[in-house]
Order: sequence, then C-alpha cells, then structure tokens
Amino acid sequence: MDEFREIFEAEAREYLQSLNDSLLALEANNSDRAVLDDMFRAAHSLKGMASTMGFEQLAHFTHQMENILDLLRTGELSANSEVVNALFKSIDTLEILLEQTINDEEIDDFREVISLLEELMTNGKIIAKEEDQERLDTSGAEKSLNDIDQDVLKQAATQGYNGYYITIVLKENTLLKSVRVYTIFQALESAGIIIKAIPSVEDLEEEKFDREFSLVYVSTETRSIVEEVIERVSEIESFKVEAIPLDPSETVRPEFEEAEQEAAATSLRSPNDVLQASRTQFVDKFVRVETERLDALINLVGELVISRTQVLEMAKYLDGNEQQRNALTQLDKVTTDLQYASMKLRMVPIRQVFSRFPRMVRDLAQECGKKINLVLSGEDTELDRSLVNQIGDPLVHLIRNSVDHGIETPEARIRAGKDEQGTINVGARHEGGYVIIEVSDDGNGIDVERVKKRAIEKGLLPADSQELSIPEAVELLFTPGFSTAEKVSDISGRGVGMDAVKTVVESLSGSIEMFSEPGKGSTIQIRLPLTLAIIKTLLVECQEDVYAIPIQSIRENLHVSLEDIKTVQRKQVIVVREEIIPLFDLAECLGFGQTEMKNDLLSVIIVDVRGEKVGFLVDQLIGQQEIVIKSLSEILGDVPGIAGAAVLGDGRVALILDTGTIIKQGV
Amino acid sequence: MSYRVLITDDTAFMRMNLRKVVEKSGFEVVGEAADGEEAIEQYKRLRPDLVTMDITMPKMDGITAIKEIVKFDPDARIIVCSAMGQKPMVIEAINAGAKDFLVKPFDPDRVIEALKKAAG
Repeated sequence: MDEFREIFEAEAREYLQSLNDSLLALEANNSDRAVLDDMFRAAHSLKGMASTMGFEQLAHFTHQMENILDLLRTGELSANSEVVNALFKSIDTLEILLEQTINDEEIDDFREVISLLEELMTNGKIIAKEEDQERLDTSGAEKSLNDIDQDVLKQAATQGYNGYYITIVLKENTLLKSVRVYTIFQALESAGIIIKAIPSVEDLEEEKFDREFSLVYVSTETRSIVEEVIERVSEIESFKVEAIPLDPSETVRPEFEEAEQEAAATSLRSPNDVLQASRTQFVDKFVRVETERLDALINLVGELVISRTQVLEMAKYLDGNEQQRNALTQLDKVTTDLQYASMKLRMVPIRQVFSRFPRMVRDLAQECGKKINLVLSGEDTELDRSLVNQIGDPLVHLIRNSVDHGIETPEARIRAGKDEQGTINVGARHEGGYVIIEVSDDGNGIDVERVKKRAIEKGLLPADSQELSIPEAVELLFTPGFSTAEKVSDISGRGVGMDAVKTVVESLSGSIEMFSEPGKGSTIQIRLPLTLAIIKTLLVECQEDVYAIPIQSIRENLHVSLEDIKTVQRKQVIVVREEIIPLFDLAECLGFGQTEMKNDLLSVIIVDVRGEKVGFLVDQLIGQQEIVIKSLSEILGDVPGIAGAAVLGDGRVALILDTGTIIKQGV
Repeated sequence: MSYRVLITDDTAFMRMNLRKVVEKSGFEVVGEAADGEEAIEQYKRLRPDLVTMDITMPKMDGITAIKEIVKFDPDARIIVCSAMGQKPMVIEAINAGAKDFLVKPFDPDRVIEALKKAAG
C-alpha cells in the first residue's frame, strides 16, 4: 500500500479542502443540494480511500460524517447552525486525524466528536420530506430528444439502424463510477453508436451524476441483443432499453436536411470516429507527477539552455554554411520553447493558497466578533510553485492584520456610517512578467497616531516627533521590531510583523507596497516575478569579473564624467536630473578596493533599493541576459550581497548581486 | 463446468483473500502469480478461463501484462484490480483489453459478480 500513500495524502488533503469549502458554502445557503452532494461524495471517497489504506480510525470517522451528510442530503436533518458547527468541528478533527495518520503518529481520542455526531443523528430535527415523486417513466425518451437528435435518428433509420433510449442505474456504492460508465460505453460501442448521453459525457466523466444516466443509442442489433450486451457489465443495478420508434419514410424537415445529412453522415459513416471521440474524452486530462521528477526535468532544461548559449557563442567564431546556421537557429528556437514550456510546468494556480482563507477569515471574524465578507478573485492566476509555497504565510499574516486591525467592530462601523459587514478583498493578477497580489479592506486604515506612539515607545522615533504622514507611518510599519498590536493577541501577534512579510517578499525578488486612507481602509500590494528559476539580468564587469543584476531592480544606466561625482558629508553622490543619488563603488562594496576613476566616462547603474534610488559605479556594462539561477553551495552558505550564481554562455560564472544587502555590507 | 482462474497480485495477503472468494463461488484457482512476468508465463502454460490482474506490481506491471496476454490470446478474459485513485490506469487497462475492474478493498460480492460476468 505504501506506493499509494503519496496519492492518498494528496487526494485526502484535496477532499478535506473541498469539504471545508463546501461547508462554508452550505453555511451561506443551507439548503443547497448540490453542495451537500459534493460534501457527501468527498466524505464517501475519503472513507473508501482510508479503508483501502487500512486506516481504520480515519475510515470510521469519515463514515460517521458521511452518515450525517446523507441525512442532510435526504432532508431528514436540516443544516442549522448547530449542525454546521458540529461539521466544522468534525472537519477540524478529521484534519488532525489525517495528519496523525499520515505521519504515523498516535491518534488523538476523537470519541467526543463522534458522540456529538451520533447525537445529532438521533436527535436531529426531522423535516417532512417533500413528495416529488412525479416521475415520468415512459416519456423519458421523447423528453430528452431535441429536434436535431430526432433528425439524426431518422437519418440513422434510413441506413438500417434501430434507435434505443437506454436508462441505466448503477449499484449503490459503485466505486470509480466514471470508469464503470466507460466500460458500459465500451460494451455498447462494440455493437452500435452512442449518439447522446444524459447527463453529458463530461459530467459522467467527472462523476457529476448520482447513479442513473441515459443514453441515446443506435445499433443494427435487436433490442434483446443490446440488453444482453448491457447485462454483461458489472455493477448495474437495473437498466431499461426502450426502442425509439423511427419511421424512415418520414421526411426530414427540408431546412435541416443538408446540415443534418452532414451531421448524420459524420456520426454514422464511420462509427470509429464517434467511438474515438467519446473515448478520447474519457482519458484523464491530468497526470500526477512527483514534484521531484518535475524539478529534475526543469533543472535539466536549465542546463540545456546554458549549453545552447555556449554553442551559439562558439558558433559566432565559426564560419558555418547556411545549413549549419539554420540548424543552430532551429536549436535556439526549440530550446527557448522548451524552456518556456518547462517553466509552465512549475506554474500552479494561486488557488492553492487562497483556498484556506475563507475558513480562516470566518473563524477569525467570529473570534473578534466582527462581520467580514471575504472576496477572492483571480484564483486561477498561475505562478511558480516555489513562490506559491512561500507566499502563503505572508498572505495569512496580512489577512490576519486586516481582520484584527483593519476591519472595525460592527458597532464602530455603524457609527462611522458604514455597512456593519466589512469586506476584505484578496486578489491576484498577471501584469507583465509579474504577479500582483492585493489584500485590501474597507476598514479604518492606518491609525497614524497609534503608529507614532508605538514608534516612540520603541525608540524608533524621537519623543518630540511631528505629525506623521501616511507614507511615513507605512515605512515605520515595515521597520523591523515594530508591531502595532497593543497586546500580543492570538491573531496577529505570532512573532511576525510587517517587516517579516517584507523580508519574505523581497527574498522572492518581489516588492511590497501599502496604501492607506484614514477611515476608508488599506491596500497592500505584493509584486512577485512569475518564476524564480530564470531571471533577466544586466551583466556588468567589475575587476575583470562578471556580475549579474536582476533587471527588475534597475532604474537606468548612464555614463557620468568625473566632475558629475560630488561629495556630500563625506559620501559620494551624483546629480541626475537635479536629483541627488548616493553613489557606491561596486568594487569597494565587494571588498576589492576602489575603482580607478581614470576614464572620462564612468558607467553607473541606478537601482531601486527599498524605494530609494542608489547608483553603483562599475567598470563596464556587458548587456542583458536571461540566466538560470543556481544557489551557492551549502559550503559557502549565505553570502551577504550575493543572491546566487549563474553559468554564462561562455562558461564563465557570474555572481548575482543582491543590491539591497550589498550596501549595508559596503558602508 | 467450473471455471479456472489465475490470480495475479504481488502481495500474498491479497492472493489469499482472492483465492478464498474465488473458491467459495465455485471457481477453481489454477495458479497464483506475483508479478506480470509470472502471470504471462502461467497464462501461456495453464490457459485459465479468467485472470485477475493487479496493476501495481514489481518487475512487470499489470497493464503491460494485460497487453502481452491479449497479444497472445485476444479472447483472454482479464479482470483488473486497482486501488482508489488509479482511475487513469484502470482506463488504460480496459483499453488494453481488460473486461472488468475491481476496486480494493474487495467486496466479495463484487468479486463474484465480476467473475461470473466475465465468464459470461
């Protein structure tokens, strides 16, 4: 069973998440049957998986949940707040249980929750079942056939086919329903053609049906032979084959004739095409791959990109003929495409991170006695998997902040003339080569006075400071050691402040900004690169070595003459368009001594460091290049000022500069 | 007549379980194979009426074995055995020629039904 463990873990977590999501939906609309069906299915699948793995306790617990959900589904129990809270509690227990099971830890006693569930089942309020037994057994066929189907059937009849309307009910507890449907399709297609499925093939494939489905089927065989074919398939509780009366002599309506003949011809001329079509639809759209294998592939592609660059570099010095040049161009193109295709493999939707927020906000809001509506958007925005993994915690912190400090209590909101329910928007979108993630709330905005008081207490500001501007207050919030929470509350006082959030974002080559309007709310915008594996850089030379500066931090590069460099308070600065910019000598920062300033024109690169412009003096600009980032080996450890290394096309190694830390280093 | 069954599974535990169910339903177990290679070898030698085939096995997996057996005998009646979460593999097995599928943990009634239906 161990080989299924990984699949089990991944799927079990997915089911748990979907239970959580559904329950939130159920809480909002407590009679949504589709949601209940989803939950029931999730619990049911979990139970099946757990028992397959031999995780008896997990199976037992999910079985109890399944029972409750079944009662809700059938309407014997109503989803009142007592029931919903019990379900939330059981999902929490399930989560703990699942983690303990996966990690082979000792399993906590969960009898309390079980007895809670059992109590609900026995004491549950029985709701009178509505009678909706008007099932029209005989008219099913006519009801679900539209004109086009009718015409196709008529056309089929002229070619000697018989039409059948088949209704099949699968056995209760059928596992892998979609595969069972697939075997039924296969059996039927050995003797005819399925024209239509109700529900659609896609829904059947995704198991969006209970146990019953219908097919419109044509075959040259008799009804009893069709019945025999179905008879041979397992796990069918009951089925019915009705002949659809077809009169080939009846004329096809003229306005449809041509189109229908065509349609009928394509579906009937070659049964194999239809077979093929329905079969391909059934093949799964996704393959689960171990992330390790994926990373290995992406690493290899990275190496290939480097080799490609090396080959192209060498080719420059060879006088190849046209054929060789074409081959190289092709190699270049294919490698680039491969590089982008493999980068895409690493991309995952940010939904993975967002999906835990609704539950979190619900719980936090309840805890603080606030009313909060969380609106998520852009969940499908994709970004690099490693980024997704790392951005989760910072976002959690930002949302906690919004709930804790941003949104006011319902009373305060009403006093301020706002809706008593606050709103937190969390959204993601692509913008150029970046992903923008925004967390905004319509709360009270930054309390500038409180920030000032706190900063003075912490010694970050002199006691007699003037009134702060909002940007100044924001700046303070991001300062290490600052936390506005007056007492360390359970919510945002977890030892991480805004400065920690900023550090994480910057370590991911991203940037963070905060906007706030008193009384109206705050918005925090995080900007992240799409991927960390390959970055665009500007290569510069310094003391005969090559260094790479990430292009996103570069504002401009320029040539200055010696007289442009001024000294202010013993620090060098340059004046660019009447703006004074501090100037650092890269060689000095790296500990190589001063760059000789003999040239008339000196190369200076202006970069953004924490929102400030800073100039670096280098020996020479080489040019832009995309590089594959390699981390420095563990032997070197964390070298301040160096973010990593890359192998260049000519085989040289370029160190990637972290301009933010290199200044601290050099000054 | 009593149908002759070949059981294929890499765990002795599962083979034992299956043997019990198969025999209880009046079929005869003629062989037990622990991987795909053994299954092919025994199929050719024993010519069973029915085969149960696990998917994940060492040496040669069930899907490859199904393909090989069907190549040898296009009328082979093979029931593929899978765990939950192996849907793509079950579909692949059916495309390769498996007549039916069983999902672990086995429900004895389901096993008997599958055997009887496949035996036709």
